Amino acid sequence: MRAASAALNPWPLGLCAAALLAGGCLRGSGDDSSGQLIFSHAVHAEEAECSDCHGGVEASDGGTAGAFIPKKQTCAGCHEVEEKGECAKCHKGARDGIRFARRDRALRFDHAGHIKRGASCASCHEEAGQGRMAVAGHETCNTAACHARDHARLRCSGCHENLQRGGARAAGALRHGPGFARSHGIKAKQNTRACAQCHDQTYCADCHAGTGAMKASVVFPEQVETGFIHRGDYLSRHAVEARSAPATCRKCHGQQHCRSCHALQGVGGGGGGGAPPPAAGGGAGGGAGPPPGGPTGRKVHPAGWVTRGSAKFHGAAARTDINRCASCHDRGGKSNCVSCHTVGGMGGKPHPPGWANRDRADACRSKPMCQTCHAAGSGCPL
Amino acid sequence: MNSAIRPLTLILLLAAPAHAAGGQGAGVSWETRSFLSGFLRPAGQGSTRHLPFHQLVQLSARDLGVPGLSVHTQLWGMVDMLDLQEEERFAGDVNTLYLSFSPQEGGPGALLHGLELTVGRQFVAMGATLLEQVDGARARYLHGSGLELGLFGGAISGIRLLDQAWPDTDDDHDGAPDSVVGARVGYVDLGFLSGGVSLSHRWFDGETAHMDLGADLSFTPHDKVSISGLATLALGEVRLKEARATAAVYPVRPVSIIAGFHFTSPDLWIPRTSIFSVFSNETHMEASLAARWQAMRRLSLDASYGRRFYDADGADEAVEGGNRATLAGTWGFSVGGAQRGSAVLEVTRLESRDNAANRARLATRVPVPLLGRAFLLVADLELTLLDELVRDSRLALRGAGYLVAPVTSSLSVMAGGRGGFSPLFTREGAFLVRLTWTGHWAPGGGGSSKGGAL
Repeated sequence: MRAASAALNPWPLGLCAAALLAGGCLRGSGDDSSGQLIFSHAVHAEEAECSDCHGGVEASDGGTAGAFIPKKQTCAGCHEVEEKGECAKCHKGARDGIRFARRDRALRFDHAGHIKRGASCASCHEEAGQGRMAVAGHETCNTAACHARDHARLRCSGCHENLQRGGARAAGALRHGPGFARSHGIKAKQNTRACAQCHDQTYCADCHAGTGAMKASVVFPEQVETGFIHRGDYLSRHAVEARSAPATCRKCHGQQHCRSCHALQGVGGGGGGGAPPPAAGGGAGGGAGPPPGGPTGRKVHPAGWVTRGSAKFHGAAARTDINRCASCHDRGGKSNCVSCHTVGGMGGKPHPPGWANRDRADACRSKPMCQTCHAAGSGCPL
Repeated sequence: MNSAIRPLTLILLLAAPAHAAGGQGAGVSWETRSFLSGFLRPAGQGSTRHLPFHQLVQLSARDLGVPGLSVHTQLWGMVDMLDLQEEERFAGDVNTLYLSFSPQEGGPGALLHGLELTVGRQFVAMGATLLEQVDGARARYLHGSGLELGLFGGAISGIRLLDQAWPDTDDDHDGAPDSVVGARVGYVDLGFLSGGVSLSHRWFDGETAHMDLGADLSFTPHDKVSISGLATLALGEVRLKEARATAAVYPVRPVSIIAGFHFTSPDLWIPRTSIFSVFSNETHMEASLAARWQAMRRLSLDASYGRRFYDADGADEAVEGGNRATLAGTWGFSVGGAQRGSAVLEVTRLESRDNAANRARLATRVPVPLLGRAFLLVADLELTLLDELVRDSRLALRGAGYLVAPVTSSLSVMAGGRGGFSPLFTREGAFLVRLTWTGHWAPGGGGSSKGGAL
């Protein structure tokens, strides 16, 4: 086949096919419209010169790849393209009336330059007898050490005009494996340049914007297979999610996010709670301001919440899940907690074990948060 | 919002004549989505009705006369057309609006090839830095040797993580500006080894809220094996704030296996300016395993399991762990033409310390060839069953259905709704109509519109 290819001078044919399919650099995805075409390069090469269909590609010096894919008029030179019943010879599914989108790989490729440097058709492309004549992948571009460094350094824009439009799928170290929605942050923190090859920040903003218009799963309900984190009835399971991985919520959502909705729902004291809790005695409510359990009477804290020694004592809850407390109560230095938990106060010191070993004396004297209790440095370590 | 829109207008005006003379690859891509929805929202014992209209706009203009120069924005606005008496009937924001410049070979600034400079409202994620939305600048330089330097700084613009409480105030935050700076030094060889060290310092109200030192590493010894890790140390406390590691193995083509480990100190995510940062000393760990089997060309099966462990110094009671498990199958299919259909079935169980959620979801997107166009029918059904009662109920059911109709190659309409019940929203119902317009324009008549259905 290689010999036959040489006789037919098939490099224009091959290079143009590559323009269609050189998403092999990153394996193709998206709508595979080329799969809807019935076409054999081998059969056509028996009766036509490559330039009959792909004229001009040999002089191409950087134009967008795919520009030399034959149009309907070209086919009309040999085929009765306007005749009813003929469509299905080349187009699968034509009877269903589906339009065929031209594949946009958004690649730029200097065919002429590569030819000048001695590249032949076979240097990059599969054999002409193959149906697709694709470029095998990044390995092809890196074969002669031409683009290995570009690949390693993520200089994709030399070839990929726009990976977002190209319908490419991440490969190798950038592959989006199972659970990628959960783990993609680690990749992004390491190398946002890699992400940026395909995704603008607008893509990040769909989920991560501080003030998104609405949930991504509401904006894109047709993306049924996408792992949106708050998809569907997240509300019913959000408490379980928050309790199972508290830092996960805290990375994005502050107190106000929890409190605004909890207030509407009558959870968490209706947004009040600025006053200190009862000194002791096991009351059920969390604050003295609004009625216990909020305006709807819904109980927020369990019985024994403020009873030392109780199984539901709030101290144990605070030690094991402080984010849960902070979702409603965090009021800065003047928190209701501090009313009791001052040094010498009835609630005792709030510091966890080992605090003295990691706190700094100067911070105790200078930080406003510390001075809420340690006014003028009182009680600070020397 | 207005203050952010003014620079957008200015940049677009500047860009207009520039992109007319754009070079190779120059062009403008846009995507607009208009939503009209209606729903009930619980309020106290009753509910309120809402009829919001949302407008979302995304715009990217590339190679604006100068190769490598581009501008990107995403913004949105909302007006509630029913509850016009409410003060909060208007909302909106500019999520991103930034100018990006990457000198190209042969173009202006070619000597700085490898530099990427972005200015404006943007997201930054750099090693120890959490994905941060800032009004500021970021510079990144990648040398041919693989050495990479990154630097950013700016005012924190997102309200996420900002709506905290502040020292010396009860609720409001009206003191010194919130800001963040960060830097990273790394090495990039994508096919083998990448890594770096980073520093991030965040101020809230003029006080240090977070100061973190990070280290990250990505090692790809073989095309079928990839190992990544990241650790962040809270410098103020000298405690490990977060550590993540994943090992991905692709033994044979249809199989992917990813093992992971995640450690966090949840209290360290609370700003050091908060009194709550002194109460706790807890840790949270998860070991996980996920696998995907591409059973057939269009059928993939996913399974993942994670075991979570908690610990806390000084806790008065034992702290237990929990399990997380998911099974999912995704089947892709086509009906007649190029539009791809999909069906998803997933079952999950998530345990926390005082409850567990069991969830089953069946969703499908079916292409429907009709009138020479590819319509899409979307159905999504979700069932949640809690182990423990919440408000005397443990069952939640929710269903949604939509029809997406292409009007032209660049315009589509979607209409549908959702409804259901749950222990929290006793009953819920909503309708949604969406108009999507997408397109791309290139100078010299090379522009095109792309399908707007998806």
